[in-house]
Amino acid sequence: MSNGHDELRQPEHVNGHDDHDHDHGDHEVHVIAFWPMFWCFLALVVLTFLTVWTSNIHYIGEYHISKNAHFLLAIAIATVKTVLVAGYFMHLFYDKLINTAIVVACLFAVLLFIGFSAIDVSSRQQVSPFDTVEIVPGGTEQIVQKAIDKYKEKKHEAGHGTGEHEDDHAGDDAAGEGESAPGAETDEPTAPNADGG
Amino acid sequence: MTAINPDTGGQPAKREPWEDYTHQHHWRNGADEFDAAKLGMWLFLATEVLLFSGFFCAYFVFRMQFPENWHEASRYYLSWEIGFANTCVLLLSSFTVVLAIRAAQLGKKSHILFWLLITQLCAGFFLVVKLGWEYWPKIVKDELPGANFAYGERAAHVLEHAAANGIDQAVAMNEVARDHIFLSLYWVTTATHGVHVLVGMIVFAWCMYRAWRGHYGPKNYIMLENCGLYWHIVDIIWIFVFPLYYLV
Repeated sequence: MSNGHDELRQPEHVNGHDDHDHDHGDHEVHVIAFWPMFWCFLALVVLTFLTVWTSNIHYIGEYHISKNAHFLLAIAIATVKTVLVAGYFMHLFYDKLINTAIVVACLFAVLLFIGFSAIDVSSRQQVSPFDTVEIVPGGTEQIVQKAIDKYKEKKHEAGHGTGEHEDDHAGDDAAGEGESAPGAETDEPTAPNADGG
Repeated sequence: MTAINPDTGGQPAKREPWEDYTHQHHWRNGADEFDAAKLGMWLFLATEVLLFSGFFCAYFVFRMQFPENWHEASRYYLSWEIGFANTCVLLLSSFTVVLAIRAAQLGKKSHILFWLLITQLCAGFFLVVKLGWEYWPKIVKDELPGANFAYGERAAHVLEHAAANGIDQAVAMNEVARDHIFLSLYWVTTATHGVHVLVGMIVFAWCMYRAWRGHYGPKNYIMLENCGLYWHIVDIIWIFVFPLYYLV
């Protein structure tokens, strides 16, 4: 493309910048090549199949593949797919390095964020052995008991049509998770970590 | 000066707005403007990644604590076929966005419109499947996030099994007692992602209008390029959501 036009719009340069920007002012178009993009798309679909396929393999010979191995494999494949999308579709492979730098910095932040959370969760027991209760809102036993109560309550309501609440504490809060609310009756003594989540 | 537009069979076409596009006066040239716009988009995308990393962090923390619950809940509540179909559709839409940008670089208006239309159809398919085949059945069965969650068939099955085999109810129920955490994370993550898909559709609808008006061509396609980047990040997030929620 050309011209005359561009010359017109070229700002009349000021202060010595003229030397290096006489490229007629246009962003140079590097037309995206079709086939690399097509193969990239195909590779992404194949990798998606691979993720599904590997998630259903539970044994290699006699060797049992653990859930964590599946998990790591799934993340590894997703990472490869991400590199393909970012590299080809988002042009990072051909683009200015600054864009990649932003992505890398961002991923570093994500890594810190998730990594330190993981370290925290996995090392709690070692740091304070007396504090081994799981981090669950409501505490471990409470939450299981709540689950049972809640289920029974629902079943009860379903069975008896509209509600008579003759049960001891089935009626007090249908919303369930209200143990920390000031108004709720204290149905059981709360564990030390009851609101730890 | 007059561009020969291949779309009109070699006839001299009327000038499209993109042919007269000039960069804003505060830029030295079009290249600077293009690069700066793209850089700004990447910075925005970084914030998007950080937004979703919060959800993923919560996911990792809870999964580390309840790997068994996670696995069972995923198998019970989510169907990998639906997730798989949606993944493929999103990948396809990413590819068509790339082709739309390519069409803009080549100055083929009708091709831009065609590829964006395919992208829109893919995005629409994604949302319809999500709402109709995933969200709606869950809403009906009270498999909702947080306090709205109700233990249903899965709990019934576990309790019956426990009663039949003389297992303590509380022990058996342990298996399903974190389902609501899994579902809360599932809802929040996929709904936020879904909103992004919806926003993408709106943005691409605007792009289609602009393309139809002839605003995109070799001299001016930065808006399309940036919308494409946004769309790809939405795709990348789904690339992680799919295995983490549907397959693990």
